[in-house]
Parts: sequence; structure tokens; C-alpha cells
Amino acid sequence: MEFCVIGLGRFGSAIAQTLARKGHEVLAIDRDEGRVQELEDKVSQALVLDATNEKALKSLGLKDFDWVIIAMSQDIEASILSTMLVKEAGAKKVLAKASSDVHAKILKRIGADRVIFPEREMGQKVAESLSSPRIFDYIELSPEYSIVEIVAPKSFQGKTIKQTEARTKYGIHIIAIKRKKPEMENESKVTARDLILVAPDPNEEILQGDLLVILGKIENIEKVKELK
Amino acid sequence: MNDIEILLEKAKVYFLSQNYNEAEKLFLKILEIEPNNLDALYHLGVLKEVIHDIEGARKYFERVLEIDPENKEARERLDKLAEI
Repeated sequence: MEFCVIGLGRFGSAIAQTLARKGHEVLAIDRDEGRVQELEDKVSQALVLDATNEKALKSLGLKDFDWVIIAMSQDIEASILSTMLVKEAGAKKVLAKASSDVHAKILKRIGADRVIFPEREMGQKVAESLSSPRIFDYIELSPEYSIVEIVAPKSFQGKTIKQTEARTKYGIHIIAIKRKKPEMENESKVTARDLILVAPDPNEEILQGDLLVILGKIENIEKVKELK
Repeated sequence: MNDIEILLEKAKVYFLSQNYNEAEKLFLKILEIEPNNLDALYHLGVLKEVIHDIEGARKYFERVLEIDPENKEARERLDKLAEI
């Protein structure tokens, strides 16, 4: 796929580099020469350009990109203006980073297809993880539903997914199991290899130490979190 | 093979067959005989990591580093734990 990342602060540059590492075409843009130079060897193309300059933006052929990512959010004016200009230039899909609710509202109004709050989302995850040490990750799907990653309760261990009655009794779905499997690293050392079983078979046995990725109503997930 | 080596091999077999309780018992037995046994300490760290006892894992890797500050494997595993 082809991506254009505008704004190469910590957030934008992480997105650009990760996409490039995954083999995608990435055009990275910032008005700061130093930031552009840092990414030069790591993405397909890096350009010094002011994304609030209409003429300059139009010269990029933005309609050829699958996603344009507006990664700057501190400078709200620049973020809004660039979002508007890239939409006008024909970008198929625009993802923009917001710094406040008002900022997000404006971005949506002017046509951003996705608006994200990385700090807020990360903050929620960290709070969940610290307040409940058995929670490793957390995604809110809606005010009612979420996906969490929890250490398998003792009462689930040694049972198959079916036997845990996760769905029938607790109203949750186990959508993946993350497991560390011991294996020999060399002749003398045992190491742990990460395994992930996506959409596991109902007859899959849950082992001690498994992390369960569960989807369900928040109230049901809370009940499972309380299980010993 | 001396007694400790035999215990260590047995513990590793239990560990590999995912019988974590038995494996832990044997690694701890080694530590009763030889409290600074690096193999037992390191493997207990990995075992705790596997069963998601992160604090436990950290404790054992830190003990390895106290005895052998240059131990690269324990250092790497400890750094990785901080990211979880």
C-alpha cells in the first residue's frame, strides 16, 4: 500500500518507519529539514515541505495514496489546514491525530476519515493495566463492548475453551490465546517462544500462563476479571 | 553427571513438557544445595515469565545479574520484561 505521512514528530516518524519496515511505500513530509533527514534512509521518500502550502501539496499527487496521515497535532491550525488541503487534493482516506475534543470535531467536519487520540488511548490502556495487574491490553470498541487481554484465571486452566463455558455462562468470547511455549534455545538453555492462536478451536486446552484475548460486554468482562 | 546436573536436566524436561510446578520444585531444590546456581536461577526466571509471574521473573533475572553482572541473556530478558 502507499502512505503519505505529514508531520514527523515522534508519532509521525514512528508510523512512517513501521509502515516502511512492513514493506509499504511511504512518503514522509515535514517542514523541518532535520526531521526529514533522519528518516531519509528509512522510508521510500522523505521531503522538506510545508503541508499548509496548497500549491506544494497539490504537486504530490495525493490521490494515488491509500492513506494520508496528518500526524501533527500541537499546531492545531496547521493540522486543520493540512487536513482540508489534502482532502481537496483528492486524498482517498485521511487519518488525523487530534489533541482535544474540539480539534477532533473540526477534523471530522472537514472530512477526516479517522481521528485518533494516541495519548488518551494510551492513557486508558496504562490505567487499565496498572489498576488491574492481570490486564495486559485494552481496546474500547464502544461504550458497551471492549476487548481485553487477561491472564487466564486459575479456574479456566486445564479446561478446554468449551469447558470453561466462557460464552454460555460468562457471555464473553475468547478470540485469541497468547502463549509462551518453552523450547530449547541451544544445547543447555530453555527459552520461551511466543505463540498466538487466533480464533482458537473450542477444544483447545487453556494452560497456566496463557493470556486470553476476550471480547464482550464490559460488565461481563469485569466478572471474568474477578474469577480466581 | 553430578547430582545437580541430573536435577537440572530433569527440571528442564519438566519445563519443556509444560509441567511448570514440578519443574519449579526441582529448580528450587538445586538452589537449596547451591543458592547461586546460575542455570537454576535463569531458568526459574524464564519459567516465571512463561506463567506470567512478571515480578517473580524479574526477581530471578536480577539475582542472576547480581552474581554475574555481564550475563547478557538475563539482561535482555529483564529489559524485555519492563516493556510488558
